[in-house]
Amino acid sequence: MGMFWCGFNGFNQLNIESNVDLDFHAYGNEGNHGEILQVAFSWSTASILTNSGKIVMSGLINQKIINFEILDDLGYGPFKSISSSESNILAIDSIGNCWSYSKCNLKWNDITSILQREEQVSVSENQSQPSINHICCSDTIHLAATYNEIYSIPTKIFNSKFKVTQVACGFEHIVILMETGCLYTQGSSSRGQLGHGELNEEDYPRLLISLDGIRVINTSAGGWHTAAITEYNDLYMWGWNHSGQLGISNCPENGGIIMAPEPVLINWQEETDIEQVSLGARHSMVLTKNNILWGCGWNAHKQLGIETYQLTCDRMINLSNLSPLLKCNLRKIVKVVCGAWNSALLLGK
Amino acid sequence: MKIIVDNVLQHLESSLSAEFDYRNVHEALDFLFRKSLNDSHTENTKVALSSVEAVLEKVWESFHTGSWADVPDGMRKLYSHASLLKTKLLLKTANDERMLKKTIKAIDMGLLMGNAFRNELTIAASLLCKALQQTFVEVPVKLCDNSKSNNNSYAFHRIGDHVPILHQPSLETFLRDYLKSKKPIKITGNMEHWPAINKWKDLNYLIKLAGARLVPVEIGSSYADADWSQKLITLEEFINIHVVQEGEKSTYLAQHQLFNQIPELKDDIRVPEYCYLADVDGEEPDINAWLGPKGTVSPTHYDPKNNFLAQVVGSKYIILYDPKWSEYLYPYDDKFLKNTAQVDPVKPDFCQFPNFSHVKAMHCILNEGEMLFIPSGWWHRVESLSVSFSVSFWWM
Repeated sequence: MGMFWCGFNGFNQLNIESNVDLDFHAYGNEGNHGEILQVAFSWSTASILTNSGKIVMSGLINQKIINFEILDDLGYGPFKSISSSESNILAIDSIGNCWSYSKCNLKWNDITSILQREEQVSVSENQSQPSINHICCSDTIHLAATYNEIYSIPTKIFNSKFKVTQVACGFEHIVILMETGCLYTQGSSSRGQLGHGELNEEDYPRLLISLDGIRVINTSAGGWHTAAITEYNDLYMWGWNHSGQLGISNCPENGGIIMAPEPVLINWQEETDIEQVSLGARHSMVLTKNNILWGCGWNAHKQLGIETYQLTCDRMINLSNLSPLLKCNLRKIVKVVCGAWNSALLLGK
Repeated sequence: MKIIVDNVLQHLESSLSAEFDYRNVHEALDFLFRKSLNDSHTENTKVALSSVEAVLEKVWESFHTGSWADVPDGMRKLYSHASLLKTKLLLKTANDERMLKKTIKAIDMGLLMGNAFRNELTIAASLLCKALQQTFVEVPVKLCDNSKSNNNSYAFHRIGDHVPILHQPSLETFLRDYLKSKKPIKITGNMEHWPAINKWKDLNYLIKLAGARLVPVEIGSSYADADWSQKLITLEEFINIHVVQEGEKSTYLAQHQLFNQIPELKDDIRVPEYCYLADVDGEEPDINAWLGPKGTVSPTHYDPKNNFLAQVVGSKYIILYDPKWSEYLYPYDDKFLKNTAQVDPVKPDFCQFPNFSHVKAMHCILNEGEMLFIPSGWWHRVESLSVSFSVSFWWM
């Protein structure tokens, strides 16, 4: 699998030779480290999970700039999933244990054993540890999910009889997608990011009523905004629109809005089926069924992969058309990953 | 212009060479700020600038995460420090008018969001504004002609009494009859010595003095409304687009400590001597500026401090309620709005708020050169009847 990526390069996380932020360009280290399974961004680092379960890192680690080095996993790997924040990397190993690697003291910690399960009260000797399916972290929130439970590490915050299919988090909020297609949100709604129509904080995951009855198939959380794709391949966005990250006008003088406290259906001029969505701190990217990439929001660091005259873009623009690299690309975009001030596209053969 | 810019650069250098350590605030931010500072000593200005801008943006993100009160002091200090460095780097790259304006914006961001190097930043902004004045082109007079718009078409809410008026009352009279008994009073003849009374009528004066300065404005008719928002724009843009012409949405420079940000303007006003009757000795009042077009509204609310509202340009219509009516004004439940009434006295909904019919109001029109004493806890609704510039003094 190849990769195009772009955005903030202040810590040389994308490229050691240049200090400037980059528009879409091809990642060139595949030969050295193997196929890319996943990529995760924090503000100062980029982390890549290879198909051999190794983590390759670049950017700032412990006050030093490193350049695509394989992280010593002390034998805790191989890993099957990673997520990254300013302070640490979360990783799931092959048997479902969760590990945290601290970027400050360069130590690995077993997270699974510190998760506070209610059943621990019962005195069963051979209690099995929970098997972690999903992890997600931002600079302020760290999440781990089993088949049907969610932990804001280490505290259990959610328990359902249904399967959890996705967890996501922004700087202040948590988004949970269930196999049933229901969406739950928790945390601060300072900028409407919870979508309940109010700006109140929610201490526990609350069902998003306005999308209830419509099956959600994919979700993502940006810094202060949230996106959901429904089974009809419609895109809904809500939360902060400060940089145009919702893809709708943010100029109050022209009837635009600075924040949307409830999901807003994003319209395209032509019939468009949305398949994937991924949000960064203040930007957004979506992929259509026809494999066309769209994006909006803050672009001061070229996080949309192209150079724009304005530093923000408050409507969805066709990046497949605008990026010279994407325009002549023949490979299928398999996955879109936005994080912090960066974006990446994983490509098929 | 060149001389002033060099002067500012020199002035910044000593603060920038001071020791610092932001590692305990944020390791990566400390790293990038150091890198930017090192690059600034070389010819690598462009790289240094992009690094310091990334630092400022990342700190900005932390300012907007969680509550403002919980932002660590170190984070705000870093923001001020990085703003100083950005100022230097911008001034090094070019010094045409456009760049000076951009630099002043960077300084004001540091002043408005940071907490350190206030003196350095304030002086730098003042000097750069002076440099801009050298090239200032006088545009057709933007005097406020408020004569027509006064007092007509407004349907006054006629319930209640007029606020009593006194001409230059003595301190003793004010203390005995109004401050101690917590009664509102309109005072006339007490602002004649304010230079602002003549100067601020000419909005060009404000633009020339501080047009490039960044100020926070409120968009929307009332802060209790859902579509209300705030943004930062230059004073020039605000006056030209929102004050002189009336935009579609009411825009208001409200409750801003403009005189701390721009000390030149403070020379035009005088603190009313009545404020020094304060219980707390030697404490300066909080001084706020309120500038906007006709039709701005501060919804009915109360403040925890005594207030002198001094009208410099234009006029305002003010409705007041004794604190004893609080319950009948139906304050919001919300913790941020609990000092704000749900009833709109101008078009009250008696079905929703039946007890409001018992409430007795006081009201007055505040004209140029008049001051209104609003005792702490008194509810007040303020609406501008014309282009208006008022100054409020909060004191205990």
